[in-house]
Amino acid sequence: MDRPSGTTEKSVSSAYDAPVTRRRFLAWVGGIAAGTVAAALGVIGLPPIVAPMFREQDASWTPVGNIDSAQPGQPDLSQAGTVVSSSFTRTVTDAYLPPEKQKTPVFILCEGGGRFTVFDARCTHLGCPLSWSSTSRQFLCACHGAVYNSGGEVTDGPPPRPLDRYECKVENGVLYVGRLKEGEA
Amino acid sequence: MSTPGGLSSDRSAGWTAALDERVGLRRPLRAVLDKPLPEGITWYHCFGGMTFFTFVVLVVTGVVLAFFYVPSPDHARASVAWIEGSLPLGSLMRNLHRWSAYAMVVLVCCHMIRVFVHGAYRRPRELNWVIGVLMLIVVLAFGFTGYLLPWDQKAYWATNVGINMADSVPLVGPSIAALLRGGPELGALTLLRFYAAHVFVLPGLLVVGLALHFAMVRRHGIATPL
Repeated sequence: MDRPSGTTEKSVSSAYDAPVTRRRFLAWVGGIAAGTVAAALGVIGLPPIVAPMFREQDASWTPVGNIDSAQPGQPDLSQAGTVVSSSFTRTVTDAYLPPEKQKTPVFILCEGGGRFTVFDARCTHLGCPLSWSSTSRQFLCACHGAVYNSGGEVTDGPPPRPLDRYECKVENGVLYVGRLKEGEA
Repeated sequence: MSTPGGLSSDRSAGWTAALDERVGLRRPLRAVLDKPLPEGITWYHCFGGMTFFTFVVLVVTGVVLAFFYVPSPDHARASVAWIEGSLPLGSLMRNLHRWSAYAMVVLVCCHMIRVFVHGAYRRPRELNWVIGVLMLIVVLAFGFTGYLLPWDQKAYWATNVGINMADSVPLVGPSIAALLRGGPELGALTLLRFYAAHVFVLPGLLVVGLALHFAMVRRHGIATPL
């Protein structure tokens, strides 16, 4: 404000070269205190909302099937060179809802010698479900005409990267899947 | 500022001056923030501001809770339990909301008592007293509607009692009770309408009330103590 606050004070033309009066000092103290409280409130309010950005995916090892002898209702993983359409089931907890079993479709490439590649059954373009054509030995996407070969590499269409695949391991004759990894060219 | 609003004469006009040339908020802000106070202002004059502060806390924590709470009898209880137990800082959010709500009711009563004891409701401030009393009703309505939302036994039966109290009012009671209940029984529709009132209707009313209340305080200034 314009009221003269002292005899020594000259004309004040800007907030920057104004002398620090008691009034200005208190305004700063008040402003900083209010700002700190507001910032504190914002800082503690953010974590619940932004937590999903830092959430890690479920990495528990989940059985898919026996690798030597197929049990009834289980995929036959004993034939080297075949691609088997299968799925695994995990119990997922969606926030406050009761835990539910969730089935995730996968394609298993049996490479022989106890080695497997487990592909995520969704197109890397926009996530449509893929189908396996055993005659042409290709993964086909109905949405935008994407084509992948049996190794998961893109041979036609818009996908930006090869098929995503699950970490997998064989233990006591059982194939397990773990974390989903992005496909790399 | 010797020339508020006039930028050409501002020698070291920085970004604040440049911003002000475009939005022109400096002068009204000054007018609001640099309002001179009468002598004899005490800490008792802070109750109104403290009430407003609890409202700010309630809005922030309420918005966070709205991201996770479900106003449905199937999920209300479970979502509150999940906020308490599994959501990062969820327990802090919920309890800040709860305790700020209690604090708001206490502080708003302190504020009312202060204004009454100081006689600050007298001419020309009668209308602001009336607005304040209306806002007190809104604050209590916030408490009443918010109390049902956890959907536990206490919430259910407290609301049951509250609605039955409304029901006992002569003539209009049954109508008020039906309006509050929303359905034939205290249930899904009641929970949903208490939620809608709590997060949409009442905040709107209170913000309008606060704007009028503060504008009137600035117009008349703080009452000189008796």
